[in-house]
Parts: sequence; structure tokens; C-alpha cells
Amino acid sequence: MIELVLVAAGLTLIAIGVFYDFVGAVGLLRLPNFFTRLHAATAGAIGGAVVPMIGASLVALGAEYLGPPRFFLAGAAFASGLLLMILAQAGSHAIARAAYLSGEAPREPILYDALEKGGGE
Amino acid sequence: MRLREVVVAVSVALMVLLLAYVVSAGGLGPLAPRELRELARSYLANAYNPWNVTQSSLSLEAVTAIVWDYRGIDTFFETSVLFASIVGVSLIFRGYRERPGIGGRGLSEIVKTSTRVLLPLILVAGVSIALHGHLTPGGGFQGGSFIAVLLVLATVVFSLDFLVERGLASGRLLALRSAGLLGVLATSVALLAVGLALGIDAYIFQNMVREGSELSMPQWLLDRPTGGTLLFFNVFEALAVAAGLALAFLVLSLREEEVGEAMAAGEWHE
Repeated sequence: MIELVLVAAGLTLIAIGVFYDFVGAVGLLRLPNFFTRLHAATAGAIGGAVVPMIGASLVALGAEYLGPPRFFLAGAAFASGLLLMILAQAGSHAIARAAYLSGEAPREPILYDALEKGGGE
Repeated sequence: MRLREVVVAVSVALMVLLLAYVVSAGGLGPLAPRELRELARSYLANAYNPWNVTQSSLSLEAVTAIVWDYRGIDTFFETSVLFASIVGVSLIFRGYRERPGIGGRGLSEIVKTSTRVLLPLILVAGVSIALHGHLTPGGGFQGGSFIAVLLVLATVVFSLDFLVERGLASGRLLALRSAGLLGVLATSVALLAVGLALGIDAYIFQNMVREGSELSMPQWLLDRPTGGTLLFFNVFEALAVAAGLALAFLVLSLREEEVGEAMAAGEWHE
């Protein structure tokens, strides 16, 4: 019973990941400037890779026919998801900061710029 | 979205699908054969063969056994070629001097914090890949590349001072690189030296007991096979590759104040 619950929860997380990947792909094509497109790509990385990775670890835990190796699979998937959650946003932050400070990427259309008013740095 | 973009996207997808179908049906030449050739079969049978040690290197990884035992001299020269290219890089940039405290601040605090989490993990992964080179896929070059990536990442994120303050300036890296290469050399002639001292026949690059020679490298460490020379080769190769690649990157990422003399020498020659 608990295995079934684990597999169902894992598959749900993977389905959520597919949705995020789709949203990220559409956003990458349709959003107007560099920063918003980077936001879409990061949503694809966090929602579309970290969430399904944790889902895959749940599925591996629930798949009893895999035998004891399933714990290695689950642990590796969970650790990879955790690391990606820390690193994907750090990478996006580094790219966005470099693009903003160098002024290479056009900022229009923009509603509010906290960094320009001395909010950051 | 215009009609043209849709047509382009759909036709590209169709072409990929068709190509995959044609390749999997064997339309672009024969696929890899299912039966192994005689040469491959003999290597697979002999890489770990405790019943016939004279043909074996007692390594569970056939690739490492071939690279460092069956064709060890080739690999030694490959390592030397990489060393020569590192020497070339430092020759071109001669006259530079690292000066800590010029003040590169590196990237922002967020990136620095997440990199601090990552650095020990990369180090552990690189060392384990190098030490398990004779048991699992990987080996000295791959593990050394991991450690070089660690040093490059630290240089980019924390600035060049990070390496220099920790004593990994270019002179030290070159010394480590040379030590690794000398270790490879010493491992390859170790049994020959022992054989000469004891008056027994031995070969260069000898690993296990061979025909006409009783000498052998240690085969087991506790309850694990060491692959004889393979463990030593992998460790020294990892050291050499990590130091060499990090040195090349360090020289390429020097700051303007530091390469001043090298650039001046270039202008003087013109």
C-alpha cells in the first residue's frame, strides 16, 4: 500500500515537472527581454528538473521489484535534485547580475528598477 | 507565430524522426556488431583473470587495464605531450608574476556561498574517481580533470587570489605537475629497478607476474584488488592532470598588472 502511495506521489511530481518544462519552453520563446527569458529558463530548471528528480526518487523507493539497489537510485536522485536546487538559481543569479551590471542586455519593457534606485549592491 | 516558423519546426522534427528510423534500421551502414571480435574477447577475458596472472592485470576495468598496462608506453607519451603543452603555455607567458591583493572581488555573495557548498563535493568525487580507476569507469585523467575544474571554479568565483593565498601559485602547480609525471615514470620502472638490484629478469612497465619474471606489484589492498601499477598510475596521473590544467587556466586568467612584463617583452621584440 505504502509503495503504491509513493509511486503515485512520484508520478504526480514528474507530471508537475512536465508542466513546468512546457511553461519554460513557451516562456523562452515568447517573453520580451533577456531577464524575463532567464526567469523562464530558471523556472524550467527548478520546476522541470528538481521536482521530477525528487519524484523519480519517490518512484524508485516505491518500486519494490528493483530490490535493494532502489535505495541507491533514490538517494542519488534526491541528492542530485537538492544540489541542482542550490546551484541552478545561483547560476541564473550570476548571469543576470553580469548582464545587468554590464548593461549589455536591454532592460525594456520595465516597470520598476530597485537596483537603479540604490536598493541593491 | 507565423506559418513559416511552424512549417520549419515540423519539418525539422520530421527529419529527426526519419533519420532515427533509418539509422535504427541500419540504412546508414551496419550497426555495431553483437558478437565481439577476437581481440576484444581476449582483452575482456584477461583484464581480470586470477587463474592466469601472466596474461592479466587483475583490474576489473578493462579500459584502464588496456590504457595503463597493455599499452602503457603510449599512455606515458600522451601524458608527456600534455606536459609539453603546459610548458609551452608557461613559456609564452614568461615574465609574469602573481601579485595577491590586486583586488578582484569575485562574484556576488550568493554565488560564493553555493560554491562553498559545492567545492568539497567536487573534490571527493574527483579523488574517488581517480582512486577507483581500476574498479569502475574513470581513472586518473578523469579524476584529475574534476580537481582541475574545482580549481578553475574557485578562480572564477573567488578571484585568482584564492589559489595564490593557498599556496597554489603557478610555481607550485608546475612542481606538482612534474612530481606527478616523475611518479608515473618511477612506477613504470619500479619493478625493473628491483629486478636489477636482486639480479632477476624484469620488464619496463611490468605489472603482474609475467612469462620469465617472478616479480609482481602488490595485487591486493586489504580485500580489494589494486590492479598492481594501475592504482599508482591513476593517482600520479590525477595529480599531474589537475596541476597541469589548473596551471594553464591560471596563466590564461592573469590580470593586466601581472602580465605587464610579458607584454612588454613582446613589444620589445617587435
